[in-house]
Amino acid sequence: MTGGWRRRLLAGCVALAAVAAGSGCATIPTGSPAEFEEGVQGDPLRKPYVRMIAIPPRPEWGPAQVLEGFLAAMAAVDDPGWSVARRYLTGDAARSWRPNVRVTVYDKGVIKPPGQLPDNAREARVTLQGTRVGAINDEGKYSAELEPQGGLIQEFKLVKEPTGWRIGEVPHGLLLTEADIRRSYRKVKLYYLDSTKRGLVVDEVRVPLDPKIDFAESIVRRLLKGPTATLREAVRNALPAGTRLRGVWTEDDKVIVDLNEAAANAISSGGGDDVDAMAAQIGWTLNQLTERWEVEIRVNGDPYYASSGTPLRVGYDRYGHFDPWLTGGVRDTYVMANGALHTVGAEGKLTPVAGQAGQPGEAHIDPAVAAQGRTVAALNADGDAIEVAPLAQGGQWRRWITGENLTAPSWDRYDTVWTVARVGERSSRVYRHDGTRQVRVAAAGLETVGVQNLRVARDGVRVAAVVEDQAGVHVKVGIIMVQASGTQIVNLQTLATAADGQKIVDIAWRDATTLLVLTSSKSGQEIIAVSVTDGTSEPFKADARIDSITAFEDRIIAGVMDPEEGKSEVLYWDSKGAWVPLLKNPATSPALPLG
Amino acid sequence: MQILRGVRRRARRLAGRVRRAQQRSLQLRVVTSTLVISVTVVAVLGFFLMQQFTTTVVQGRVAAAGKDALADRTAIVGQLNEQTADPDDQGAGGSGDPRQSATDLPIDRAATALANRAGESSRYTVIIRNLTIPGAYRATNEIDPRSIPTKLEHDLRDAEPNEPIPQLTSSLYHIGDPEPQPGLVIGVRVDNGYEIFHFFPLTEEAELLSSVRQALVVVGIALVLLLAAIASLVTRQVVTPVRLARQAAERLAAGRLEERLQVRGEDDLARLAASFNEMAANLALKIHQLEELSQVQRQFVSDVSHELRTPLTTVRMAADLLYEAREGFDASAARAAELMQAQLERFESMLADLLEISRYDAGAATLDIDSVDVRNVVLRAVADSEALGEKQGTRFDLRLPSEPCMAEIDSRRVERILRNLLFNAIEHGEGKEIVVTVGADRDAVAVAVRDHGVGLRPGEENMVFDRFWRADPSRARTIGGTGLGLAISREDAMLHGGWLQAWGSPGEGSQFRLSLPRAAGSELKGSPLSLVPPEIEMRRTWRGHVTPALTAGPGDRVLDGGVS
Repeated sequence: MTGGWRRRLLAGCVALAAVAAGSGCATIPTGSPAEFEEGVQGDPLRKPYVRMIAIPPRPEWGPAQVLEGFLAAMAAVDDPGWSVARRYLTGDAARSWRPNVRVTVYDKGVIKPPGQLPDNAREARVTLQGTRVGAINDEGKYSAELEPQGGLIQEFKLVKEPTGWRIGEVPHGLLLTEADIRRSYRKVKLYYLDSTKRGLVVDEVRVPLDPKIDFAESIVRRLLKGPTATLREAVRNALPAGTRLRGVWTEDDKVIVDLNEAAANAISSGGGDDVDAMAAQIGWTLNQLTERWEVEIRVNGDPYYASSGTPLRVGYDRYGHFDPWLTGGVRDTYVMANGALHTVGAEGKLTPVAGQAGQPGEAHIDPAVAAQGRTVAALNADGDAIEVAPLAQGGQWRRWITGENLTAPSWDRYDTVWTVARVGERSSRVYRHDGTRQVRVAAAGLETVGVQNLRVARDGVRVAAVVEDQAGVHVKVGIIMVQASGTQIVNLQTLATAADGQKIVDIAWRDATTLLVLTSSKSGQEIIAVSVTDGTSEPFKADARIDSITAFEDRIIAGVMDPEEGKSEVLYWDSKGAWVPLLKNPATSPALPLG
Repeated sequence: MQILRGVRRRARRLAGRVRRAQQRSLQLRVVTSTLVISVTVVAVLGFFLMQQFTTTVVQGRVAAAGKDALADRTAIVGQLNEQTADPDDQGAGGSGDPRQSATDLPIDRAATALANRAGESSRYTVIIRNLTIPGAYRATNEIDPRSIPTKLEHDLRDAEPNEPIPQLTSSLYHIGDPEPQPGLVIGVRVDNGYEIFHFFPLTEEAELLSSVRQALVVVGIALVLLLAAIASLVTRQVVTPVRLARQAAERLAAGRLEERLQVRGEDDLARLAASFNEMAANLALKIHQLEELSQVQRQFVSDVSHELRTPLTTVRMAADLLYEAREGFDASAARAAELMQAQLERFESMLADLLEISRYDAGAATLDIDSVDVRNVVLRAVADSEALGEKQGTRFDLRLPSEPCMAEIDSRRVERILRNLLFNAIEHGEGKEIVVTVGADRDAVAVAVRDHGVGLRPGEENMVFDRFWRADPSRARTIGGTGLGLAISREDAMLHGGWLQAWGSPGEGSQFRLSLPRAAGSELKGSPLSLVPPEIEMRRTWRGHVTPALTAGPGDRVLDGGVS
């Protein structure tokens, strides 16, 4: 029968197809090239972290354990009202305690228990001893104790209640250990703009981890709140008041920052520069988490279309180069050799600079090179004038600032030279010269002390000075406030104080927030890197003969004067953590642009 | 309530319609059953497939998670043991206590190590805790302590230390996310009283399973629809020829004997069509033969009747001669002449009837229609029958309406019908009263002739109209009817488009009803008079009995059907 034959053929085909399809589904195909594309590189906004979780006190705990539990409960970040911590307190204390005002940070904490208590004890006193190392104020700024000392931190009175021991008195604010701070807070740099809105100024705060929102969101919210009090008068914020953050998330290797309409108004009225400035602020601030990701700014959830018609996306190549002084990079190193200024080339080869500065002649000391590397300023041999020479063919020394016993010159990023005239032992005048004229700068904190050195930071806002007053020698940091009425140095705060017998030899800005301080004492030279934002410091090993330093980011260069041999040398701090000669020839006064 | 009832009614109506459609269509029935069966099969298969898949995916994840958790445990225990080396020192001071060093606490170090191991993508989160020590409670990332299942806590309390207990749960809570996620929790209590919980979110697995389930559902639906479509297609291939065959059979039944089916191919259906065609051909042949035979018979009767007339006329004339001269014969010869005369008359009338009926058979009978008052026709017929009635001692009771009952009829034929009915009634009326009723309504007129004789036995109501039928073959025809009267009457009635029906009951007598439409050619829908006499009907209703009245009903309907 033909029909039967056809049916059998059909059945065979169906069975074959089924087997083929089944085998195709059941195994992973081999042999064919597998394709993939570079996808999202994880989510940099979500870094792993550890939280303390507060637990309520247990009835069987003694006074010391209750205090320990309370100290731990204060560190619990996901309990915003500290409701669990309050359960360690008596009713009155819980009601009156205000934890939000400040954070006191201590280390080496020891709880001294009250000793053997009688069974019917109703009260106990427990002390917390340790070292106060710093404090975080209500705007998140950390300030380290200048001279941390061990001792009593707080005495607590505990009361026996039916449910167990409770703390009867507690000071306002939180008491956290350094470990708690490491666990629950992150050091975050906030980027604002200088007075010309062309450079970025770094502010640094401690932001608590909030498990409810992304840390990136916490950071941007903090950025929108504005700078801390010390910087507030000197910096600008391209993000206008009223800007609120709606969310931060990642999408296809992009960070999306969703702002409310206040941002759009500012962008459209401010024009392109403000957009760049705003993107730079957000980009640099988020760059701490994301590292060179593209940032897209949206307004109320919709892509914001700038005048070009494309969504407002800012890649690292745009916001990253907004301020060239933040990115480091290769800069010429200058040294004085044989009374002339030289640049250091590859393998320590010295090349004299163009112009008069590169020719041996009238002695100039303490050279400082301006931002573009086209101008040098130096103190003349008598120390009564700052002379400036262009580093170009035929460039001649010209006298810019004259004064009595001037300090070494320092350039700011706007090609202005700063110096201090020391008119008396406790009397100083700060001068600046912007290329047209010499101006005296009001600096209330510097005029009644002896200023040994003054360096303007590369951000053009911060200024560091070594001053001597009745209490000793200090390193002070202030800010330059530019106003229509004039420029002045304000908000001077002591960053470090020389100990007895210690001398502050030199200071140099390493980056926007780190100041290198070179001290010498009988025990030897010491370099410490001090964070000007929170006062924390990190020591460097120093060569005993170093007498001057200059730095830019990772490049730290020191001038050495060997008094015994009378030989001078220039060293640099290599990546392995040792001082290595930079040059074969003798040279002095190493200098990097600005700083 | 009303709406509900309406909905229910509509649903019931719909179900009824579907059921009817199913009963009517083989194709629909096959498709429906295929649908039902394939849905069941696909559902069962899909369920098992899904279960298998779920088990595989979840088991794989649980195994991987268990490995992670075990590896972590070893690392953590090492780090935590630094602390438990001198537990008495806790909070009691002494610079050697690691808790008071500048570095992190062991629990912090352990938790940080775990958080980093889990990685940025947060493959899992961890909680380390010791509820008896103040401040010994850490979690990584956003995991909320609510995620620890209470059952697992209890199990851990009773379990051996270092024995990991896994538990699948559907509620991993994360801070900032109010919706719980499905996940796996592995808890372990280590020697020094610490409890470590690993939380593995199974969101991806859940998403995978949900997408697989979606795919399965889509494929299942597609498969079911495909099967239904295939079933529909296949059934159509079978049903279409069957439907054609049915239509052909219907046309064949309607008399179109030339109807044939197309034969395509050699399969079963083609053979069915061939057989059908063969059957139709044979049927047509047989019918044709029968028709011819019947035609021959009718022709024969007609011819015989005609041929008999000529000799009969001669015989008649001779018989008349003999009859008139009978007085000259002796008594027996005279009697014979009389007998011959009578039988000849009967023979003549029988021959006339035969001729009449053969005219009907040949379709040659025509109506001579005129609008007349039926009452007059009835009166004429009664008058014709009165002589015979008197002879039998029968009295007529006429019940005529007062208004004229006009109808378009052939009065000669109708009179003949009535005469036949009256003769019949007189013959079987046993001398009792005969009631003649005339009724009329808008569309029809009717005449009923009622006698009170022996009546009819059940089943004889139709047989009375057969040719030469007689209720009791042993009984002689007293009046000398030919046996064709009622048959001719019925043919006459049918020629008018009317009905002639009989009712009878043993001992009750019988009634014949003639119903005619008032307008010639219009269809008769009902009769103004009832077939069963009203007094009988009434008596039955009183008794509450129903049987004969209703047996007459169906008989009535059969007759109606036969006529219309």
